[in-house]
Amino acid sequence: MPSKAKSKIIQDACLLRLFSFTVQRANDTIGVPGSKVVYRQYASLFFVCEVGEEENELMTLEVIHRYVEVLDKFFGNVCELDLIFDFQKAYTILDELIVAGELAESNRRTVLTSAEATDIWERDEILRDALQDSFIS
Amino acid sequence: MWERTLQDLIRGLRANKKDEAKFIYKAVDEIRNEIKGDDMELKAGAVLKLTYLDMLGYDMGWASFHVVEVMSSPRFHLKSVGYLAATQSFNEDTDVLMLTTNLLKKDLGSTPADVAVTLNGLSHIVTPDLARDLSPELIAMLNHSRPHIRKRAILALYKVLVKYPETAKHARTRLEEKLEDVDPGVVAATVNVLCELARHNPTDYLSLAPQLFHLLTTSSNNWMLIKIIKLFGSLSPYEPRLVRKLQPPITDLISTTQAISLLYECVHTCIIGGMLQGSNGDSLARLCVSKLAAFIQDADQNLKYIALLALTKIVPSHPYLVAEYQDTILASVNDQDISIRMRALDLVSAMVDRENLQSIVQQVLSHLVPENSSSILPTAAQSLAQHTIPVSPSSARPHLSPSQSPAYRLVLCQRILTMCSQSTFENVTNFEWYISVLVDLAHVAAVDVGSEIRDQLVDVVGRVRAVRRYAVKLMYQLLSDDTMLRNAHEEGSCSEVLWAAAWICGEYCDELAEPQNLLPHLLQPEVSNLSSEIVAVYVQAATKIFGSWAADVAQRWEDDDLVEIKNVVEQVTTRFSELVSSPHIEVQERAANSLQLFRFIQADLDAHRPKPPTTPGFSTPSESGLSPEPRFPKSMYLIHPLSATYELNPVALSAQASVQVPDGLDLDAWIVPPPREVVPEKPPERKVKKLKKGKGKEVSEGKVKSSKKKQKETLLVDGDVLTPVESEMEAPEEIEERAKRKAERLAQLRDDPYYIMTDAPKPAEEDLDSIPVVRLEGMPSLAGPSTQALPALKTTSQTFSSTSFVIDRDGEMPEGAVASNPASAPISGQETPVESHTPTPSQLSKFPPYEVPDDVIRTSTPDPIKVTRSKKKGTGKKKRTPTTADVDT
Repeated sequence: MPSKAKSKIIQDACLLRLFSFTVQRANDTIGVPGSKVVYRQYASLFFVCEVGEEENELMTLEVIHRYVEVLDKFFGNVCELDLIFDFQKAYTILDELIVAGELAESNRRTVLTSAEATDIWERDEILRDALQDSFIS
Repeated sequence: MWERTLQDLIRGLRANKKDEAKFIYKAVDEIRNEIKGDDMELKAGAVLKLTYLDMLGYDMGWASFHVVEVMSSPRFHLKSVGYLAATQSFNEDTDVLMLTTNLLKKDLGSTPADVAVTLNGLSHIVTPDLARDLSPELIAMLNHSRPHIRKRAILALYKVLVKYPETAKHARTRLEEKLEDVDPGVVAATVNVLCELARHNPTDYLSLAPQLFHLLTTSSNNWMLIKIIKLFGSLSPYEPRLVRKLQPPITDLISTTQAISLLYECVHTCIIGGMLQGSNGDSLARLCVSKLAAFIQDADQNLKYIALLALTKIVPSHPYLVAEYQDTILASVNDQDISIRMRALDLVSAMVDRENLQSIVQQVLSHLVPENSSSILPTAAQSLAQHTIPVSPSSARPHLSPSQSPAYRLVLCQRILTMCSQSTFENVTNFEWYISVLVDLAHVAAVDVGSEIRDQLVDVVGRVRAVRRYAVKLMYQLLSDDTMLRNAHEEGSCSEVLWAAAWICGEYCDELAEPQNLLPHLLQPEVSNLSSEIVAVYVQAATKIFGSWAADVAQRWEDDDLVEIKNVVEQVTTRFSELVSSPHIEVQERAANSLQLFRFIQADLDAHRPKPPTTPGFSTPSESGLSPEPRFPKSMYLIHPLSATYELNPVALSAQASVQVPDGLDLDAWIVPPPREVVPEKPPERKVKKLKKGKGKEVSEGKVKSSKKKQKETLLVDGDVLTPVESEMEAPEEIEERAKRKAERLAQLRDDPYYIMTDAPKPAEEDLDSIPVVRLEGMPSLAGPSTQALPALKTTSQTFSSTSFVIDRDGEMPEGAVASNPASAPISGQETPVESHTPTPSQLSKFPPYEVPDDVIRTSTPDPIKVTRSKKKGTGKKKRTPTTADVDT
């Protein structure tokens, strides 16, 4: 299945829902007073953000969406297991996208390339180490 | 060699779901061994596994030193594991963070890949110490040759500035330069950081406005535009000129942009940044509202949600613009998404004004009414539908409403009440409508709002004179409807409304044509289903209603009435005798008090001979001159004056505070000192209350708010004061002595729940001998005035009804206080309510015998007690003399 169609399916299947707890309820469940919870569900994956009260909910949703897009490209039809077994990579991608709680890179291609570059770099390094080890021993 | 990898661990965890704790215990044990070894690869693997477990909630704090070891590895893929573990597990208190300063410095000077990882990690783990030590490196890095490092450095610097604000003065110029960076990503990151910084300290960043404005008008990066707009939103309140400058570009953005998040940000900033004021503001506001209204109609629930949120903020300044979309907004209250309903309700409550209140409340009320035929779906299915998230918004159309959820119903009810009652019923134009809404609400609520409705009823009826007649009518229906009584035990039955119903009917029973018909409802045994507080009010109401009716009957006395009266008194006494043994002290006490009054009436009725006019032991009625020889039993007038002498009025908030504390009265002194000294303090205490009420000049203003308490007091005081009346001949010392003894006895009996019972019979016998003499003497004079008073009341209410409703907003102030203390009570409309009341008290106090010299009234309780006093003309003054003396001491 071409990935474009796949992502289209995901986009359709994803239910766009935003739920803002009242401050009080946010206190009961998570977070600190004066924050709100914005989440979006993609198939079985929930992406939850706790943001400041003055933050733009729609933009937060866009950030989530951007992240999911990159994840989807990176893993190829991302699913729950990808994120569980490769949480490290998921974090790497998040680090490309968001630094210190602010959006660092809004271009999804740039994020993807640098995430892939990091990945290749790591694999390369592991391979090199392994080769070195085998030659030395 | 055979160590578990992370993948093995995760698989194992998933396979051992039942035995997770044991499995993890074993795994952590292995990790402990691996982490201690020299093999860096193995160590990093162990740390990664720990990181995973930490995310599941198993603390890895113990391994923080090993994390630092892995962080310091020269291999990139190991280093990144280390940093990941650090971001996951470190916090401000992690002690090994002190060891990382040099490591971080070194990594910041390493290869670009390392630097990127380090900056990311630093932004998570930075502490004030680290921030101080690393800020020079970070500031230097703002000029790094690679844009993606510059970008990260800028963002990491923000965290450093948060933790260690002193850095700001060094970083500021560099940071501002970055607004003109060649790389757009760097500029965007700078704007992000400035936006956050300016939020906390807007004035410092006003100087950046020109540069930012340039970016606003030239950039096409929506992400950055959002932040710039937000930034201007925090700046504009401090620089009014900005508002005018910003209006054109923002209007432009709103009308042209395709990005909804940007559009929303613009609208939102316009609202909170105060850009809708001023000459051009109005057209901008219109534009904003029209965009938001379009959002509400959008299929996207998120847009609906935020549009409602934003409209709520715009309503206070531009209500007329929002009002155009009232129907759309009201339709959102029907949305199946509960969170949208809530926001719609917020908005609707904010929109309420005098014109639309009724239609809005009616709409909201209709949500509470159980939906009929159309949606008879099993509640299970409904609740399921609420919790599962529908697959697509369009398929979730079926008409299941969350109206059944009790929490939601409660919110609806409270909303209705607050909408109507805000600013002392500012928006209510028709109070008869409001009273009927309240009654409807009590019927349909099915949640626990009874007490709120009760308070509203009492408040409205107390403040709005013209609605009383109508309220009494509705309350009468409520009391005579048994359904509520039967369901009283069910949750959400709102049976507290009966409290209000009984109280209102009792207090304003003059409005009832045949009050005696209400008595059976108040006296029926099923009443015991209700909570004791309500039963207590029933007792009180029954007493008042009887009093009013009896007085009424006495006016147009026919000897045939005697039988009916006797029957009713019989009923009342039977019922009250049952209640006297109630386990609830409040009920018991009131019943016992009233029972004594009724026993007396009963005795008087029995003694009454139809043969009129002469009654033994009855002195001439010459004083009144109105009815020469009453043909009715004198006790007909026993009860009515107790409750009807003074009218209840709402009390101003500052009324109590403006009552001067009399000289020599120490409010902080013990009323009942803990050890022995019960006696001397007691009388002053009673005086305190009397004085306060006395100044108010009306019986128990407090009754409106806390009627039970006050009434209880009154009754108690009543009992007490009877004593001095009897002992009229006693010297003051003797009176004091008696009071002492009585106080002691009362103190002893206080804890005995049955003391009323033991007390009751005795006084009844004694009093029967002594009191009637007292009574009869005053009787004729009593009869005359009340004949005038009653019709007077009725005519007043007629003139009022169906004309404009006057709300007594401020409540009543003590008479003295108004004159002497105008500064302390700066209520503007204060004069008005006072004026409006003056006629009524004077009407009601047309009982001439009560017109004891004015000054005296003011210093003592205008309580039912006075009835007793007034009978013996001389007694009034004589009795009061010790009273005032007591106060002074």
